[in-house]
Amino acid sequence: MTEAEYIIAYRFGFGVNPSKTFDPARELSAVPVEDPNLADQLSKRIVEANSRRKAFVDSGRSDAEQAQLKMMYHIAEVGDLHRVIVEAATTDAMFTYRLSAFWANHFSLGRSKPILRVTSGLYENALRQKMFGSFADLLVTAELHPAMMFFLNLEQSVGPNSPLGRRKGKGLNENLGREILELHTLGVNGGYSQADVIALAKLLTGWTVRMEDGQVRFAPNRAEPNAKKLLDKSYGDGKPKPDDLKQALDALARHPATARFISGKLAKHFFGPQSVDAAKAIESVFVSSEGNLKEVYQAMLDLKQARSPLGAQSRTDFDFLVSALRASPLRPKSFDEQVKPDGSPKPSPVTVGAMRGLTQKLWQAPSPKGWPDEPGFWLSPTVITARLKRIPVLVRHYQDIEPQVFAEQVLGPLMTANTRNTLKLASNRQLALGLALASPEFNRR
Amino acid sequence: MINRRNLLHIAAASGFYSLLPSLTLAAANMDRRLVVIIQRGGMDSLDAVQPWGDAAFKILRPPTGLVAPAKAFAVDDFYAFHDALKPLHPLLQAHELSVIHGVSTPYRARSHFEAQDFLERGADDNTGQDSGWVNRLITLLGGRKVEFAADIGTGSSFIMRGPAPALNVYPETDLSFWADSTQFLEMLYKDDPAFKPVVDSVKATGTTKPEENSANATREMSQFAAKLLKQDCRIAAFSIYGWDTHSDQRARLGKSLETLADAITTLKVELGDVWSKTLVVVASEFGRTARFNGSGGTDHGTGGAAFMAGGLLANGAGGKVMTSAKWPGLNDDQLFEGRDLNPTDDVRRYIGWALADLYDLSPDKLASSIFPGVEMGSKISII
Repeated sequence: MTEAEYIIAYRFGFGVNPSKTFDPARELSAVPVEDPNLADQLSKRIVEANSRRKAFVDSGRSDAEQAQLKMMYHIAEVGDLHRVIVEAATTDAMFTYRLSAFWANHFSLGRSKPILRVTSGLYENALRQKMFGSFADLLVTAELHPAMMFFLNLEQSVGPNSPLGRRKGKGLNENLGREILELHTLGVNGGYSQADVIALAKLLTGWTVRMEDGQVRFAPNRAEPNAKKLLDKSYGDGKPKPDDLKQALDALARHPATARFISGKLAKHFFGPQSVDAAKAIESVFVSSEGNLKEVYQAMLDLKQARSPLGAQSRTDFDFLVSALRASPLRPKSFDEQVKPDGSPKPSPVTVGAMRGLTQKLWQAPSPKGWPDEPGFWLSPTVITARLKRIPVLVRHYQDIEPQVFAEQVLGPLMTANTRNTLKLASNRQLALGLALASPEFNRR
Repeated sequence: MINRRNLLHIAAASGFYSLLPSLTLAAANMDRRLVVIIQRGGMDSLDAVQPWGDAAFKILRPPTGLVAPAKAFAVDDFYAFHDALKPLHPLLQAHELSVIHGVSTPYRARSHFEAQDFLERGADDNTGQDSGWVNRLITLLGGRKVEFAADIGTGSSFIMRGPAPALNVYPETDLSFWADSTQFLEMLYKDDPAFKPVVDSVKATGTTKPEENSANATREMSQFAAKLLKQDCRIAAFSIYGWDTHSDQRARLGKSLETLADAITTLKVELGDVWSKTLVVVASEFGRTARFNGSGGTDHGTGGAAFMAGGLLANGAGGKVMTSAKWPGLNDDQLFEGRDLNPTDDVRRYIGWALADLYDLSPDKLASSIFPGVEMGSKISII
């Protein structure tokens, strides 16, 4: 393989695996079909969580009911974590998985309440299905996904002048409205005011998750009536309609500040923080295609910077783990999940076990801003030290392989003379394999 | 049987730390310790330290409302602490704790991330400084050894970013696989400035497995900070999360305040004699809305409160709640933009005066290199 192929595989995928070829452009013409059961599963889980929660409260908060509730959360959470790691570690569509991870971090979830333990793990699949269309559609999908609605308190926000708001004295929660403007569309310098935050919070009222069937719906009795003025444009009049929000989100998706903000983030993610030219090129396609994301991705692949030397960015913990799992044939059964005597899942040490030891807790970003896309963050000593701690577990699951052969395959022309030298001097095979995964080349991209 | 605690003692006794080059501390006050705790998410200062002396408070936060304030003990005839802060009562009585209320950084919009950058950069705006104020303080104090300061946590904080060296460590890391092989890591990372500090981190954490029976990660970080501060470390920083109480504030804020109280009392217990030479600064990026929102919580606001703790406060501001000239007030026309506690003073001024006393630094020096743009104003006696 040529150095250019290594660069593309690191920049747009999870690195190099000798048994798989990588053609990111081809992925754009064959949009993935997500498992239709996942959407069903989402609503079923919400219904089950709700009824178990009720049973727990009705039982006078009994230990037995609480144990059942916790077991349900645990099984869903561990199962999802295992599934997404295995999916990414085995897919032929690496670029697709890198893109969906980007969007899941852009529209980031956190872990503020228990219901997120059963809904977050299905979120990225929903985004992946929509991320080859328009940015406006992706935006609606993300904001009206139950996990996002729970995370940023939309299900608790009520129009103060809606029938429900007047009857129960309930009111707005501006959390989601603010983060849509600041983090999901215009960006913090995108030119909005506190009044716009309130207007969008009002436009979002009415949208809720019906706990009885787990479906997202528009409930007019919770929605703030009358016109709302967002960025000098008025939405809705008198009776609130579900379309009011969609029109407002559509306008935000088409706003020039959004094009700039999203393009800047894509450029930073794939080309590093200093890629001003790449950001401009992506922005112009974002604008001319009216947010057609497939065209935006193609433009990224066509940039001359796509083949420029690596090193300006760093792998996230998730990228690191998936790349390490793809780098070498694992021993048979390494991915297998086992079940403990009490019926609870015993996660594989190379998937859930490894991920939990790293800094990046999936779907539990420290804030709604998501995990920082900063090389400095992912190369900070505590982050790398946590990787060092997990590396012995990973290399133990590798099939026998000569460290030199392994390093030539995985790092190839990217390997520095110093790394090659250090591996030669390592006192044992496991250590040498571990040093290859610990090397700066393997952790940057 | 050797348990983890004994291992720590053995590691200490076997002189691991004596291998580290010792610091040359010129001035006597370089023996003092500074701990900075960042409350990330925006603490609701009006619930943490409740201004019952303001008649408008009872209207904004009625005892019968969705989220009645949880009043524990009075600080004076104006303020009372939230009941989750009860464990701090003895510190307050011993004049080892104080509060600064109605303050903020110069930032006036309501983004967490910009606001945290202001707090950590310590500057008047977010464009000038590319380093955190604690990092600049390390430079000013002449800390040249990496173990002089520690950024404790699972990531790295902006407050300690910059040219001065500092450890970036987290207690819960078992590195036995690498412990005997650090020379290979040293070799692997020798040409890469970003990776070089990893070796220091591996060496420092390799001997410091987490204490047993620690209740939570924050307590572990406090214990770890205390352990380092009793050795060659003089400045430590870590963060506490869980302040962004948009909903269910009654339960969530209580939990976070308990964690904070536990972190401070753990520092006091673990530091032992060193507590008398210690200043702890606790600050959040902003306060929250004065009124409750529609879901039993509060949204992003402006004016907030900061805490200071430590044995050094006993002859200074300990036991008091400080505000600027006067309490900003909670009537509609006194609130910032009609919704937030109005910050009538710059929190950096208080931290600045505390640092000036802590290290014998002139206010001019602080205003020029630690908190650019701050108006230090007249002296505030904190320690």
